[in-house]
Amino acid sequence: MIVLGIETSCDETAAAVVNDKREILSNRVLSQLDDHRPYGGVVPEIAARAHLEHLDRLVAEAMDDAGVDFDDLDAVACTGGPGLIGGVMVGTMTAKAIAFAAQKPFMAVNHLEGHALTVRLTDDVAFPYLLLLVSGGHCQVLIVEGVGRYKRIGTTIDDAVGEAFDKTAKMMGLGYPGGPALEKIAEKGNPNRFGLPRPLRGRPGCDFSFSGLKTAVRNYMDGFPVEQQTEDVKADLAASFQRAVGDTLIDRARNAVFQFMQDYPAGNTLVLAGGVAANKYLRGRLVELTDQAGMKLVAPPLDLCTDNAAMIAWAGLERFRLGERDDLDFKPRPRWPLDPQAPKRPGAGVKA
Amino acid sequence: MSFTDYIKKMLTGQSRSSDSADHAASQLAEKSGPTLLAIDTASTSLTTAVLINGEVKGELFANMERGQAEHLMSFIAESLEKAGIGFDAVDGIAVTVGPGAFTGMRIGLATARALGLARKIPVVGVSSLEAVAYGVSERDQQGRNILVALDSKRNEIFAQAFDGKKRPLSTPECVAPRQALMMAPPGDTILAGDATPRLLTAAAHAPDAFYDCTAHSLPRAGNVALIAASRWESGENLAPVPMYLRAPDARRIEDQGPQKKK
Repeated sequence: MIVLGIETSCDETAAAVVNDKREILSNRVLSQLDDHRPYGGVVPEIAARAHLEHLDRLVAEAMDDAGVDFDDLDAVACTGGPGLIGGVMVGTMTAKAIAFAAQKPFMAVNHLEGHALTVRLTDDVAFPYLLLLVSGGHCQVLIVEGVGRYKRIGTTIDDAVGEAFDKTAKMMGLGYPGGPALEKIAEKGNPNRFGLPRPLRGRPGCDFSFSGLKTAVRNYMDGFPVEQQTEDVKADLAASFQRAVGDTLIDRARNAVFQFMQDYPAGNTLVLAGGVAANKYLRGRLVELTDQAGMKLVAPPLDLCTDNAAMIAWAGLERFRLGERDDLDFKPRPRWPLDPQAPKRPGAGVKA
Repeated sequence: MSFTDYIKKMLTGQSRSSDSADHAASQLAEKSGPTLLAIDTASTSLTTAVLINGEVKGELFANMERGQAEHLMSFIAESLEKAGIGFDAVDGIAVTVGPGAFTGMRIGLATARALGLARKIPVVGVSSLEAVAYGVSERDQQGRNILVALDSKRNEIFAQAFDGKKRPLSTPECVAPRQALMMAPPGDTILAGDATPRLLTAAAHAPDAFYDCTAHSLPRAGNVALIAASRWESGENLAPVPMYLRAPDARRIEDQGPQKKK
């Protein structure tokens, strides 16, 4: 069973081919970082233009890398949402057209389901498991009961974690994307120098909030005249910020772990997915937590934590082999919660 | 040919009808011209058609502000069915490249390019402005110049002037209606396109020089196919890349000013 996957929901254009032996036959990802850097964030129209410009070439390369023809495919999968709609449209139409021309089934995949199921491709993790999905656009805790069966037990009520990193870094003049830059200078900083809030810490539930933290950093920055905003100050502030994020993340994740262990005694895995998984400090904190709880922390390799098409192909494959199919009149969905029962939230949680 | 080679050829305009000869050879022995599937979603409509032996078949047209992404594939299937052929019989794809609605342009172009890729057949672009000019009848035109104007959902419009034989007199531009009027040389001019009412308003000072006409105000896929077919052998069709004519709305970081305080 061979599936082509396409991903265009944010600022990565990607195409990949996977099979049901859990092999990634090809995995092409083109980052648009340079296109968006001058604007300090992802510009939807620029993203959509870049997706159209590059996607068919990336699909061609992915097919050639995998050494397969369109006739060899069993299905064509794409991200059908949630995400920036202009890009999702490009990927969806490309997948529909290939499916039509090659007379193959079409699968519209929820981008978050792609992240959620990646560990089954990479590590063959069995259901159920607890998933912490943390990226620039998403921040939620889900219990993954099975393919298509997700229970969201927590989400951000304002910014996503990665977003908080990027915005804070932008404020400190660390460039774009700022998350990795902030982590880097934080290594040299004193995490105890600045007192910052730990939003929602100690409260019941697993929701997150990061915007107050961001504002607190801004207030410190504004308190320093420009000439006193030295590298040392920035490093200390970055370290203090990162520790505060870690504290609040761990506090919320601990509640999630308790709830999961109680409701799903068979499960013993916490899966970390999304681009924030690249942050070594936060990852270390989560390892401490799972060690304490007697659970295992599993995170896909970094290139499969950030947006990619192998995860879309895989999620499409998982649904395909359960007999699911989507129609060619599928409407791309800017908002598409994995758990439709979960209440709507403001901020980064609004779309998913 | 690898898929990567196909893409390189197509986007550099090197993909010619001869590349699809192996497909064509198995088709009708005595057909005249390429069998084309034409798609247009670049405005506020959805239209598809098939061209066989120089004849437009199965043309569909629907006004559509939204929903092109949902309906395009079924339109294509229906056009092929009405034309009595399968997709395998198609030698190439013709698609409008705009100017027009950005998302709409991308829906058509992404679809056309992927259809081409999956079958390794040529994909060619046709200007939406030219497709509208093509639809102006001889009776309406009577050898006069044509000024085509398409809506851009902004103050500006997309415009281009054509001569009595529908050859371009100007480049396509994104301009204010009054500036668009100056694209046509002095003399009687036929106006076409869905922004015609805005041109007529701007032309109030010279009511005797500009005439509305009975042509469709948006492109028709049949005309898109005919234009593409006329340039098929010469390879003078446009590459299937969008004609935006307007930069994305975005402010560079240095122009974003101080951060707002919450």
